[in-house]
Amino acid sequence: MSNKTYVADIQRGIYDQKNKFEYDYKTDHGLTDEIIIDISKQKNEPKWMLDFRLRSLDIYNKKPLPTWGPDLSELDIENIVTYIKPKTDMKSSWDDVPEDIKNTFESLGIPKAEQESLAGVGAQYDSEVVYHNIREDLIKQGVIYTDIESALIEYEDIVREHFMKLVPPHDHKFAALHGAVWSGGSFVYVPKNVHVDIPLQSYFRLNAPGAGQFEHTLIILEKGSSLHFIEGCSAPKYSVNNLHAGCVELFVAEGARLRYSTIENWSRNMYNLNTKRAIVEKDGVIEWVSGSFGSKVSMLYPMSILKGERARADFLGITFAGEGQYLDTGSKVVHAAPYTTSTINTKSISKAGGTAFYRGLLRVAKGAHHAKSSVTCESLMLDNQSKSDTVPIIELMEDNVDMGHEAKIGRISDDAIYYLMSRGLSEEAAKGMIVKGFVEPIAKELPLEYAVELNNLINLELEGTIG
Amino acid sequence: MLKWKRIKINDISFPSHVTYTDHYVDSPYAKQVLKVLTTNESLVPIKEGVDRELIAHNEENLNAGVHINLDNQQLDAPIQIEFNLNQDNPILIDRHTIQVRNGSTATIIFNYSTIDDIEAFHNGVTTVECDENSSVKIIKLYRFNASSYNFDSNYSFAGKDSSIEYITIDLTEGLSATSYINELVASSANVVHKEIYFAKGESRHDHHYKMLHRAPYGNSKIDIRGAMMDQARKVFRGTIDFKKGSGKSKASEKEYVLLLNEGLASHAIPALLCDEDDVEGEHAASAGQIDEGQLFYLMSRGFSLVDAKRLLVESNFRPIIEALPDEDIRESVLQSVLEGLTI
Repeated sequence: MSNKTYVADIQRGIYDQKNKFEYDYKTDHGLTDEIIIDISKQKNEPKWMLDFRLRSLDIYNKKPLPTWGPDLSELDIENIVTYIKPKTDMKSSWDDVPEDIKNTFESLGIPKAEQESLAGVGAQYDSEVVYHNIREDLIKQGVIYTDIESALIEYEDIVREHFMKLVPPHDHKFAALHGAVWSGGSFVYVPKNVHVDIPLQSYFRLNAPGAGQFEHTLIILEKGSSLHFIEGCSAPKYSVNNLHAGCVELFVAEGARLRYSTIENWSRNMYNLNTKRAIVEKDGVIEWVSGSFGSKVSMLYPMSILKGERARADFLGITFAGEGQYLDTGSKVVHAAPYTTSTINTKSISKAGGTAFYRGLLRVAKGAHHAKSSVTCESLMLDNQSKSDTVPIIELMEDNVDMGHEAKIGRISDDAIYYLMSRGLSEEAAKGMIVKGFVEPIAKELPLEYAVELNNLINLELEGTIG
Repeated sequence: MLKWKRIKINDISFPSHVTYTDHYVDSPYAKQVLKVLTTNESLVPIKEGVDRELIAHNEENLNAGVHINLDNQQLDAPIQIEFNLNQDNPILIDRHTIQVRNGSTATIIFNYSTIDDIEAFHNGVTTVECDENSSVKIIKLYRFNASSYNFDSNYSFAGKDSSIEYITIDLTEGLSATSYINELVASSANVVHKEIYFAKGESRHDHHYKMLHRAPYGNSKIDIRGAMMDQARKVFRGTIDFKKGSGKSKASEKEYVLLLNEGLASHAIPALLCDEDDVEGEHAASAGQIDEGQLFYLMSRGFSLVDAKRLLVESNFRPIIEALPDEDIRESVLQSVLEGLTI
């Protein structure tokens, strides 16, 4: 990637900056038909979308909570406010965004990154997108990058054809919740053979306490096009639980290539129950680069469905689970066509009682002959109060495949630390260097500002003692 | 339950108690170390196995089994326990308790097979307690026909400086669901599990292994090699679980399966769970066809396609077959595999 942004060292403090909780409108706590109708009315939606929301709510009420994974008993949906409209409409100039909201995004480095290395930016604050802008030359090429509410009005047919088709509401309880109360998010459409060579970025900021954020990202790449999309997420810490149940649907047409990079850095009171899914046609490529930090509980398993011949999925993921965190993350790949390939490479670090859980699925469907897949999971534990688990599921319904899975768990080797200390490094510096070396294969794939953020996060997390 | 869903098993009815009349013990040490169980004696309770219902069924209906108790005894010949399920004895519900103490060593071979085309049912439970400085090698051969059900739950406790080695050969052509759970309860315990399975026809295999490390300096290893053909279905579930207090332990598991034709279903769930930082754990699972380069090489040396394939399957299995202690058994296992390979 050329023209990378340089962001000076950041302090964690910026993520925890709270603005005064002000809003233009908000719904009551909980989930009822009336609240759903209210959200839909606020957004002036077509009737089919209201019907879809109500149907999703019905599915949500009937679906049980997952019986596996982290404990969700402290998550009280009835006390979550599902819709909070900030005190602004969507703007296309930062100068028009209210001062306090603009300051938040400025401290996160978004406007500066936009000026220097992005082709378009979307910024969401609580339930609504407050800023959206895209470079003129991309508009001329037919690229659409807007908030999903605007897309629902301006490109209703396209949205209707794709909205929650990859992640249907009956997929799981939180997909149904999302279908009922979704708000905000980005819509991207890249026409045939158009290459967006500079990334687009959406940043989701949840400021309100006890609230939920349910943004919907819909990206459609036509034949032979390419795009790098970056998603950033953060929230300040409150004493009450917040909920993030976003949904990402990615449609990658024949020969198209999409890179989807995420750094989720939620605060430690956040339940991050996010669903991401991509469908890839013939010769298409989906690349996931995913960093999960923060949050109290995360359940996140980006899924790639390789539908066309020779489609490819690459997944690079890192999780860092610290005190009081349960990060249950992984990746799912379905090989549904011949000659498809996938590579999954995950790394996790756990410390101070945190739990890092890799849960993965690799499925080679009948008829997907000559599929190739390689899965590697590495876990580093920094003390013995932490937990690190790996449960990959491999399902092969085809004989002509080449599949390998490997996982390793261990701690920083005393020999390595001794060697570095004998060369003059302090113990802390030696450990820090080893941890950074461990995450480097993934850090180098992140956009620069996020790689810097990752390294800073690791520095912050490693403060104190390890090992 | 998930595991039954994976190999597409619907309701199976369990037969009630019937008498098993065949003599099945062959050991020069029979009187010294071994007692045949015929009634419901005080058994080592087990918490987990193939299925809770099956364990309860075993306890209520057992019709065969042995209790082996070794105390400072080093046996120089294997104890052989052989069950041939036949027309007169189609139902076997066996329970075995094995206690190896005070520096004892032993090899115990369980050989299960069916005669003719009978519809056989086997539901077995074996518990092993291997105490300080003792070692035991347990070999289980399952050769059930296509009309049979084979269920076998095994639970072992490995004490300080002890060593348990399992070698299992599963050539069942019907349904075979086995479970091997090992607790390494004291320091420096060693448990190794080597297995070959060959799933052909419409056979369904569900194999479950667990190494529970509860104490420091433990070592465990799971090495599974399989071959599948026809419309067979199989599930491999291997779990390494480092519990708190198992520092300085090492564990590894690997499964490699050769897929010999289309129409198979092979599932693998190699889990690695860890509550301790100072451990080394790794797992690997891989699957694929016979390597075409190797086939080409062998055929360029004059082997026919079929012979070359057989040779490559054999070479995958050979290291585990070689670990069997008895020449006759080695030969007969190899023969069974090669005869079944209709490629």
